[in-house]
Amino acid sequence: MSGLMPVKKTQQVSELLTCRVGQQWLGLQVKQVREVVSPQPRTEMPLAPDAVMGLINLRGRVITQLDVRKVIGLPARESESFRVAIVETLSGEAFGLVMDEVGAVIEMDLDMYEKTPKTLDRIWQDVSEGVLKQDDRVLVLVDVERFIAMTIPQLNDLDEGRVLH
Amino acid sequence: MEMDEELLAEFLTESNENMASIEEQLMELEASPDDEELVNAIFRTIHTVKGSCGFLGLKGLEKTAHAGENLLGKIRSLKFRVNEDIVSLLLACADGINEYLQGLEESSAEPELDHSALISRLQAAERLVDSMAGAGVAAPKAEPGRDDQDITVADITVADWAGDFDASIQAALIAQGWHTPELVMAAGFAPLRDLDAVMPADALKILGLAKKLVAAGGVSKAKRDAKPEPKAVPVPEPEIRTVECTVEPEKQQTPQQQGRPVPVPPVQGKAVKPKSAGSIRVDVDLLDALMNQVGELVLTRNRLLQMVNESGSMEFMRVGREIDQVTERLQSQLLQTRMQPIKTIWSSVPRVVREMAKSLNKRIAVVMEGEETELDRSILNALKDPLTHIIRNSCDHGVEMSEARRAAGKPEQGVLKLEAVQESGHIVITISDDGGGIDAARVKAKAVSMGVMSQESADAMPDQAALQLIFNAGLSTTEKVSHLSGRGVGMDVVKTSIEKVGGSIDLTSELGKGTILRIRIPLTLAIISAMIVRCLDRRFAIPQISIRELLSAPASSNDWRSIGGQPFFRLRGRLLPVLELASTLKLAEDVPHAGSIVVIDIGDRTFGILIDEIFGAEEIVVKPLGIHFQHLAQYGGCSILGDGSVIPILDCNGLAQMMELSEEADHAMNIADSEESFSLHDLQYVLVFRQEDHRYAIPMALVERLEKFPPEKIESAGPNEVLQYRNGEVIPVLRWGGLIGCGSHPEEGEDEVYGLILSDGHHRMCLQVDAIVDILEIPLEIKKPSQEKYFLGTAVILEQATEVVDVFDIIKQAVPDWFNKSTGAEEESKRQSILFVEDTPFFRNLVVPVLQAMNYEIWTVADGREACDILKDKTPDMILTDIEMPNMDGYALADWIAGQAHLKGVPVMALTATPPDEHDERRRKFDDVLVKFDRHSLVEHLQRTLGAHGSDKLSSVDADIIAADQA
Repeated sequence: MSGLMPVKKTQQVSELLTCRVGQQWLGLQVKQVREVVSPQPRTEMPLAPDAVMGLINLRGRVITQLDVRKVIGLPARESESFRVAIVETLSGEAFGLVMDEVGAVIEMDLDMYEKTPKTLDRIWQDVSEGVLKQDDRVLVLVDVERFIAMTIPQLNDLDEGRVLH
Repeated sequence: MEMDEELLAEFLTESNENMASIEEQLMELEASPDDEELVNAIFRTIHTVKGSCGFLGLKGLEKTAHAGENLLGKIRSLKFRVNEDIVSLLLACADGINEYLQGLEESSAEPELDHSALISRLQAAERLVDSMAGAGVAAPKAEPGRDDQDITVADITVADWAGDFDASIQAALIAQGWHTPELVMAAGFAPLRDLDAVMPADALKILGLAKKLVAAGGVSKAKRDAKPEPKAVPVPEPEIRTVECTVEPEKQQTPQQQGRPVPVPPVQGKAVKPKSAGSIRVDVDLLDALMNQVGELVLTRNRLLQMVNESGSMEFMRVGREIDQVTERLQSQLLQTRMQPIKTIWSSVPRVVREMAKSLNKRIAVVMEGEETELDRSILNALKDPLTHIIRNSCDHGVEMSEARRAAGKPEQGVLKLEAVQESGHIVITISDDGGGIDAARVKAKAVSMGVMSQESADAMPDQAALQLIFNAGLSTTEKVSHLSGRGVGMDVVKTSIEKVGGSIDLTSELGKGTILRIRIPLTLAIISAMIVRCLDRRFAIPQISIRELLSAPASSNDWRSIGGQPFFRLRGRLLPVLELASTLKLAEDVPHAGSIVVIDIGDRTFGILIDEIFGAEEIVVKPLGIHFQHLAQYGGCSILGDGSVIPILDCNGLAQMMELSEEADHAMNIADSEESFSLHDLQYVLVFRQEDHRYAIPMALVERLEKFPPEKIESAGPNEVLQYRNGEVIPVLRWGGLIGCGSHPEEGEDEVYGLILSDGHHRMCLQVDAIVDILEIPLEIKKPSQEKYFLGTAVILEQATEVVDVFDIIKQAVPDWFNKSTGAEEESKRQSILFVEDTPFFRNLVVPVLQAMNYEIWTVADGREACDILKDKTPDMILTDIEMPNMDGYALADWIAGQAHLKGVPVMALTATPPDEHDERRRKFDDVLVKFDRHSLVEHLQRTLGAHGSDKLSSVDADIIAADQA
């Protein structure tokens, strides 16, 4: 899938899970990813924020599933063949991030990070810690906390969902 | 200093247990100061605490406990009757000890606390007890020879030495029991300064004076005489020693018991609680974790059972059943471990009440029942603050001052009663007081002044509903905000916190009698019973606690109404506002009004949720929703069903907030409310007639009179038929037989036909029928609504299914423009209401149809007293009353009305057969006096009076409602 060579563990090394959404490859910190699962039966929640695809039952734990495509403004997915990366934030809540494809776990040197280029989509400027340029692609390093925070409705949206007769 | 953890934990558990009862005991002691056993028990508790301190090296705690112990010792040995102040002081001492215990618990080290003021007050009190006892109890027993020396402290008054100070300061000193300079010295500067009446400068002066006097030995001389302990009274210390000594021999006598850590001291009383030997302490977090696990187990079990059932294997099913039962037991037993008696939060109540009462200068007794009722600890925790708030409220605003109570003929001491009972999976806590009750009128006035509701809706609101307004944010009826309770926020917070744990609260109150608050909460939070429903293709869970009933509401039902865009469903004469779940959750627009309605009752509000199907009830484990749903009040959490799918749990309070009724709709509900309130008086005059062999009923509202005439009087006029009526008026005729397409069979031997003359005062028509059966006053309840022209539906009249005629359809047929000319005015006055007070049925029958024909809403009552009852809650647009009536006549009623603020401006008309003389002063009590039988002037007066009045009353009412009312 990629011609990336594992980096030597000389310096600070971090492990990344690569995922693809649309044409964009993303990198998630492995320590934040609990597991990757195939599509689960989900319960859609009326009035939920756009990004929320529904709730899934993962071995008795109810997890909010977020559609990454929706968040970054891509057209809706046509097939149900996606993968869900289960991530956990510092608050202890788990979320399912829906990706088109999940690649592999790579090891990389922290030195290899580059600043997120301004040419990249605005959304990535907001949620990425930097990018990793590889032979044929730019891997955006996603800050999971920031990404999830973005999908939470802001205070001024709170009246949405209120039905006035 | 590092303490032995084990030992400390042991000490804390034991002390906390002992201290928990001490407050209660102290207050009991206050009530019965002669109970020596009680003093003993309290003494022993403090003594035990103090004793252990030395062992554990808790110096500060030891000092505080020691001071308390000494005072108690004196009280005990001198058989001193404690007063309120001493009890307060001892309570403060208990607080001090608890403060230490709490600190110890938190940090495992003795907290740094300064209790020196408390200790010196305790010491001062000890000396006071000593001296007072010397004067009182001990004196008679003293040797006669000591008489000369017997000048006691009691003989020294504050005035003797501090007479130069303000009376308030002297009073404060007396209140503290610091009668002598010595006592003041002993108390020290800080507590002296802390007295409200004493300014710091005065405190210094008093202290200086006291010091001087003590040094001079002037006043204190007497004290020295009294100080030595009277010999006739046993000394406290030795007795304590005997308690400890007896331990030893006992140990030796029963060697087999030597292994036991501490033998039970030979106490005579109830103080020491028998501790169950088999109990251990478990970390609450561990229990919570276990609870979660069991929750998961329950879910897995549900899934397993579903699979087992599908497998159809008997073997599996048997195993499944066993697993089911074990899980059930495990769950309920684990729930039990988390249960605590409600006593744990009630124990502080007497203290709170005592302090409130003291500061408010009221007398309030607390009665508690069902203290052993157990609740999940998390719920108990959540209940604690609301409960305290409610109790403070009851003391502050509920129970009246002694004088007021005396004046009202109640015992001076108010009673605050707390009751807890278990009722099918719920605990119902009732907090009642016998105080002044809540004035619904004031609540309404406040609500109106704060813009919570319009005056109109307030007037129409039943009192019970108005009382629930106090749970509204910012509504508190006390004009005076006290420091003890009520700052405008309060009851709304109480309500919210109770609802947060799945509970509900409602309030009933009777003016002058008291107030009752009922809290209903689930036994446990984790697992709830819920109704699983379907809306479109989705499932939702609705907590059972909020559900009152389930209704089937097919589209064909005649009970659907729509007012101001809001759907309603008519339920037992009331309009139930219906929330369309599908549109509220934005699942669909233009939801068809069909399906099932779940009737939700959440204290002050009742509404229906329209859904498509009801699956049934299930026990579900409540799981919290994630951060993406925090802003959605519609959800209360989620759960996992037996098939593994996630299901949202609806929050009925949140849904209720989504449903903001328009003013029109709100009004319609109020009208519906009043309809219900007066259903007893809601009898209609119905005429039953016969055509061929069928019976039909027609409401009398528009029937002016019955005519009997030869058939040939009906003449043809073009395609229509007419009748020459009185005064040469020609009115259209409709033959009922012709209308409904059946024949005509006049009575045998009758050569005349019957005609019902229908009129509204402007138009007239005649409906020709075969025969009149009867005229009845009955509640006309249409059982089977009809879609057919000319029929409203079927009602049971005289035990026969009778079709009810729709007068409006007939009129429209005969006089198509009947309604066109006067509609505006008619519609406007439609909802105006008249209270008609009349004792004789005959006159009622005479007048009511006239009023009904004028489209007024009529409430009839039989005398003045009944009128007052209704007028307390309702404000009609006009009151029409007879003068001569039993119980309360028209004059008395008019006087009463004049005294009612909310009835100001409501015209009161007398309708009488014998009007009072023109010169009779009493005539002026009425706005107008009309003579009975004079229909014409009645109509004219009504139109004049009400026409000027209520054109602003109501702009539009749905035609449905009008039609329904005509039914």
